[in-house]
Amino acid sequence: MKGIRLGSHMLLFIAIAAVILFPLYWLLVTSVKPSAEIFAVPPTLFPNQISWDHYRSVFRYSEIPVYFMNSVLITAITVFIVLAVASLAAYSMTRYKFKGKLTYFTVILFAQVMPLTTLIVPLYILWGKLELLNSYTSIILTYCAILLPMAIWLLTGYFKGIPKDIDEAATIDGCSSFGILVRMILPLAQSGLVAVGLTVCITVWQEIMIAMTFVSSDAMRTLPAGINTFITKSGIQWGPLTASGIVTTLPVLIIFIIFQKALVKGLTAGATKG
Amino acid sequence: MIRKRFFRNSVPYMYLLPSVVIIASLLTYPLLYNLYVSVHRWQLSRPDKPFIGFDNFTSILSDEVFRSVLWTTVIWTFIGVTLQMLIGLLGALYVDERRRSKGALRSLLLLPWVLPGVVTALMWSWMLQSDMGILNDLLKTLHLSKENISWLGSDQMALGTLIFVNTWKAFPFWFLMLLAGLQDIPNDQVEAAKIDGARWLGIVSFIKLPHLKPIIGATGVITTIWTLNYFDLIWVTTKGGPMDSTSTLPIYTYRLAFEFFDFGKSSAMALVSLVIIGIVCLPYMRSMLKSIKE
Repeated sequence: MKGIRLGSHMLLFIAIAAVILFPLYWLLVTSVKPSAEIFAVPPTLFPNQISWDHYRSVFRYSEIPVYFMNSVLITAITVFIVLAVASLAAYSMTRYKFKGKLTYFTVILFAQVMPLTTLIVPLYILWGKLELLNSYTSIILTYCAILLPMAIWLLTGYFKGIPKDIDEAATIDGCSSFGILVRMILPLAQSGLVAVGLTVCITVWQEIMIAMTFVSSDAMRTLPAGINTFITKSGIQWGPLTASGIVTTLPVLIIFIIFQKALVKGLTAGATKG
Repeated sequence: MIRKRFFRNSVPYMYLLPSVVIIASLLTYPLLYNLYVSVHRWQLSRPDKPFIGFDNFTSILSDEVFRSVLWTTVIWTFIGVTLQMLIGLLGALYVDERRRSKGALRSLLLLPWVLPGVVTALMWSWMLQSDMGILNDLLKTLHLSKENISWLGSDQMALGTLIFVNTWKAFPFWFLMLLAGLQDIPNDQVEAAKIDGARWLGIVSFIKLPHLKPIIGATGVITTIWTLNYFDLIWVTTKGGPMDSTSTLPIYTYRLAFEFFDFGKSSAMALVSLVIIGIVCLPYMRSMLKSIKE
């Protein structure tokens, strides 16, 4: 009886794993098959021969390395700016009393549900007037604006949880207001910063609507927008395309594996506090 | 003395300044600008942009395309969120009762959610290719279908297919939230019910589900907004086609602006979406604001 139950659990586990993992496996396998084998009938579940040709062609003869560097730079700078600006705001929200606090919070709350489509046309016109389309500046600042409300909202929650006695103790020791933020609060809110940073990172890394609208030059394009243009072209080359898909996924996957605990904790913070 | 007090009073505003500048210039101002564009005939093909009042709105709302887009959006969002919730709930109930495999299962089930949307779209459109996709091959090998099914190419199948793919990608968030909620339930409650002879279904519906209610509400609002606004998957796979069968509000709004170059109509459409979203999440916003005031 116990054996049957264990067996059925094993079976269910395998079924779940197959549904989740098979699509990824198929992406990976396609990217390492030689071109002829990709279209073999019937398809081969395990590649007869592993070839890195598609990766070689992606890295040597396509713009993917440029897109990759653009994506890394844009993501990193956005994460940094969002965390810095949101920390300052959250510090003010949790440590000071001032007029207009409720208005500010209402705006932050409202901004989180604003659909991107309400912003894309006016921002396109504005950045165009400033002649900043096709630049890091327009993309990064737009990402910052979109993600700041969420970041401020979440960080305020984290900062609230840090006892105020710490501030008082630090003030007595001669710490300035800004010093308290940098030396006491930020280190204590580390898990919150990591969770928010990760959310920003994952969102920016895959964003396409803004990236494909504001950028028309190859030199400025980001990785997901680049893949989108590859798919749109007639006559899709599945080999190089799946290889670029793997290249786009890998960094996210590595970050996910390293920071999984922090991400889960951050996402569920609101759900468990009861 | 007065200067010092003024300085002290301005400290909280100094900390807020960077965020206020960014939000005011890149969110508030563009939103107002959107309003301005929406009451003008603003097409890239014409040099003049005359004020036309609410003509953009009336022409959208009386258009048949709008009705079909709205209907598609409702199906996409409602069925999508319901499926995400059901699968997330089943997953959470199952994983919560596991001992050894809990951690591994949680990582596994979270995976689709962290995958970039573009990659999800590319991966599934490769598997769902009608002539050389692995899914059609599998169905034929198992003798479940005789012909190649055009998953994304026919206007009858495309929306359903995309709802399925999006469920695959989005259910992990529900799963994660509900699992966190389940782990919060005191163990002795469940044990006591078991001793009293309660069945699995009884425990789920009388102890676990009532406990999850607030989480289901909040997660429901968040995922409804996300699903309604979700753009990447549909855009990369079908661009709203075939025959507009997968054209949801964000897709149609985007196409109005950057395929038909009618900025005025697109802005009006975006504002209509904003109102719809506002209605959906009004109760949630209210309860959030109430919680802050304390």
